[in-house]
Amino acid sequence: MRQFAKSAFIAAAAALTALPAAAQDLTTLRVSIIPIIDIAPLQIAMTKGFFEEEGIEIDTTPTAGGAVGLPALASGAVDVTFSNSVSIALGAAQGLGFKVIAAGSFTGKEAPDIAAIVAKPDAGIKTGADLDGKKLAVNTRNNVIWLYANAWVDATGGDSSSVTYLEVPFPQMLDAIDGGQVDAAFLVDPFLNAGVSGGAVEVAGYPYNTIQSEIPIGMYAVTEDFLADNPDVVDSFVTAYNKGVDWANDNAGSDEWNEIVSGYTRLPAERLAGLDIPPFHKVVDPEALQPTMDLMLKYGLLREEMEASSILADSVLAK
Amino acid sequence: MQDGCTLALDGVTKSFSQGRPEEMMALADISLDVAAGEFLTVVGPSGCGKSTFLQIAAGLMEATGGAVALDGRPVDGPPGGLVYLFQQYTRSLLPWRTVIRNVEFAVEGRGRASRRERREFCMEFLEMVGLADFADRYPWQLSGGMQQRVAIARALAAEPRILLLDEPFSSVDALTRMELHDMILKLWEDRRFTALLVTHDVDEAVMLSDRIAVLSSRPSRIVETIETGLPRPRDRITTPELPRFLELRHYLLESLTKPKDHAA
Amino acid sequence: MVMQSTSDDTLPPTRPADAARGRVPALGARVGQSRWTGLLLVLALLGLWELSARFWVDSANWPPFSRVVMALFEEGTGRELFFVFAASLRLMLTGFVIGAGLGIALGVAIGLNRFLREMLSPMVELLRPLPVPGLVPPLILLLGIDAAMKGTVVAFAVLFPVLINTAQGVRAVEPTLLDTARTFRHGRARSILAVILPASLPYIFSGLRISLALALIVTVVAEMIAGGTGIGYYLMTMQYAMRSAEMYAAVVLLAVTGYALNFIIVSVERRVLRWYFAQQD
Ligand SMILES: Nc1ncnc2c1ncn2[C@@H]1O[C@H](COP(=O)(O)OP(=O)(O)O)[C@@H](O)[C@H]1O
Ligand SMILES: [Mg+2]
Repeated sequence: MRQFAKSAFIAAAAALTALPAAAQDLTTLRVSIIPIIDIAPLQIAMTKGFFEEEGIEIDTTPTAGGAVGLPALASGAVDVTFSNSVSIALGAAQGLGFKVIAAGSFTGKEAPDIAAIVAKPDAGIKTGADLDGKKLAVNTRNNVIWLYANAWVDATGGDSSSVTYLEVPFPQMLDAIDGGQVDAAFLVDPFLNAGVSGGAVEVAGYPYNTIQSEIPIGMYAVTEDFLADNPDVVDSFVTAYNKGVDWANDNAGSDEWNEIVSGYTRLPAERLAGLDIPPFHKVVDPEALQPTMDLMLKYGLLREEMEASSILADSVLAK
Repeated sequence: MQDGCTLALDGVTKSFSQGRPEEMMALADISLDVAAGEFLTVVGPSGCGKSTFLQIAAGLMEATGGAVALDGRPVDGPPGGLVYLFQQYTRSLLPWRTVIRNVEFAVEGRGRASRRERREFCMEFLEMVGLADFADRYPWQLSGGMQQRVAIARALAAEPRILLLDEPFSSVDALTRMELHDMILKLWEDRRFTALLVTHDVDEAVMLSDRIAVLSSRPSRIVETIETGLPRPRDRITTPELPRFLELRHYLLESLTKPKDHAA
Repeated sequence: MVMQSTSDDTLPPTRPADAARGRVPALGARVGQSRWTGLLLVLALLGLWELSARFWVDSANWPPFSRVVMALFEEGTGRELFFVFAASLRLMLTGFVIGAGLGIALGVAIGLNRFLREMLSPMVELLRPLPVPGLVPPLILLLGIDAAMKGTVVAFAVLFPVLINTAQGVRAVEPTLLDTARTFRHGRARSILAVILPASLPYIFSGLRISLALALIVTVVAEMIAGGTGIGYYLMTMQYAMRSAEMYAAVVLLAVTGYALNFIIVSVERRVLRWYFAQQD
């Protein structure tokens, strides 16, 4: 908990009392996160002490919806923000100087994936063509979910401009389908898993896989200014984070892994056990990200072409 | 105890615009001299401008024309030594304060007296009006007459050199009014401040005053002033039986109800 | 300033402001037997909740009330909720005190000064309806995402009901009282402290009552958006973790907290405004 006076008090206390040398040497980074499985490597690196080994202390600021992470980054309230490719690119296009320093989460290699468009089993929705003139729930308009929903509808014989997109938070999507407020929804895990395994909905398609395999979605961004002023800190952050990636991939499904992830996501262990988690990566290939930029242009999120490499810092590119 | 002070109104006029182009003239040329220590009453019908007149005299309202002077000094705001007793006692007492704290309101910010000294000082005035036992009650727990006595105690605690009374006895019952008359007379006789009362009640005017000024209906002017010449101390039973009392009463009532027949 | 109410000399001392003040008295002013009917209604609704979740509504987001209660008493949940609520209430009270203080000060200034009133009221009317979710992103740029920002949002929401009610109260102060203060030659400061503020208290309190309920809601909404700590963040996290029983446990506690806060302010109001309510009867 951070209160107005608290940080000032701690600063004063730190100046007055001799703290242990080790604690004093750590550089604190404020990181805006969303408590979802995608940030498992970060939480693992924190828990396992990988950041401390690099001289960094991580102070996380969780936001459940993720709507304020990038504004907070732009304002300097946080140093690093976990966000999605589309929001980061939008901010960069607005001149906010966002740079991706580390990879976060990717979609799966092949179906079944961690995200899908679902509908009632008897609704007969199998392709984008079936959605023409229908209502589709997305968590937020003009974000990555909305973008790939559009792309999937058009790629599977439908007309995305005839689809009505309704904003529904993920936790309410199954209720919205059940109640008939929407015909289909772009759902993600763990809600996807819960809905499908419970038989409430069936998968109509996996939009990400349909367009491209292993799309980079979640990523860690800083501002250009921060990167220019703190190149060493950023390097240390990425080094520690990448150790977390290795550990996460090597120990996926272990008890310790489950304990860490259910600890910060608050997901019950049994729910977590039922999920397929795609491997985490250390590198974002500009070629893999470029199609997302192109889709943003196609669907009007960008006014002009954008090079994926322009938002990627060296630390996230292949060596 | 300081002596009462003089009050002089010279050619005072007052018009209200009321947001309309044509002005409503309430007071037309009022001139009046109140002597030090005198009890002077202005009588006039309701709505003739008595309250307006008194507020201008108190510096609470600005006159349209003319001048007001207290002890020879021009009045351009409530002057020191002047206290105003409002007609609506329920509106002039602070309902969130106890009776004694209401009296203290008159002297707060004056001098450096401690709380206790202030309270003791104010208790004396509550005793004078017979309300010492009610010091810690709230005004709304008292009857109308008692509330007006609180207002009187408060007015006296300010140690006025001139007391302006705007029909302060008009909204209590007849018996209570008589008691209040006795009380105000006694206090006035003791303390000898100048008293300027306005009322529409002719009996009250005759009973209390040394001198009576008769106000015409709107736009009002002072028609005449009359010395009552009644002996003091006044008595609530015998004074009204005096021929002079009856004569004055008759004359004033005629004057107020049939002003046309009675050219001054 | 003149006495505007001198022309009704012949009328008994009624108070014209009473009609306007009639809508000021506290909610929950009349207790007693209606309290029992109210309690029955709450119990009936809880029963309906339980039945609907068991037999009619099949959704992970609608657990039966009994499961919510069980979650509340589960190992760890109660303790966590205590800290979650403590964080939110602290934030809320900080914002409330700042917003209410500013609201009263500005309300008095606006109520007393026509120039200020005419200058500020268009801005007040413009800012007043701004929704909290719209306020958060621009405020993040200025104040970050911590308590300073959330406290400001709460203070902002609290400000207007208090300001508007206070200004109204100040303008409704009995002119005779002000004239009384003037004839005793009390200065501006004493008139405000000893007359205007206490006389406006019935209005100020109704503003405070509205604002207190608002402050709790706004705190939770701000925490939902900006996250970090508190009830709002807890609600979101539990929703996303598909732990609806814990989420509703927080919601139930939130309702109880709102009720308790209202009860407290109404009790304080009835004590402080004893003179006012006594006059009403
Ligand atoms: N503030 C005011 N604005 C406009 N008209 C007023 C105002 N005060 C008094 N008046 C009018 O002036 C006249 C005299 O009022 P007032 O002095 O109260 O009379 P009285 O006290 O003799 O009954 C009345 O007609 C009244 O309506
Ligand atoms: Mg009058």
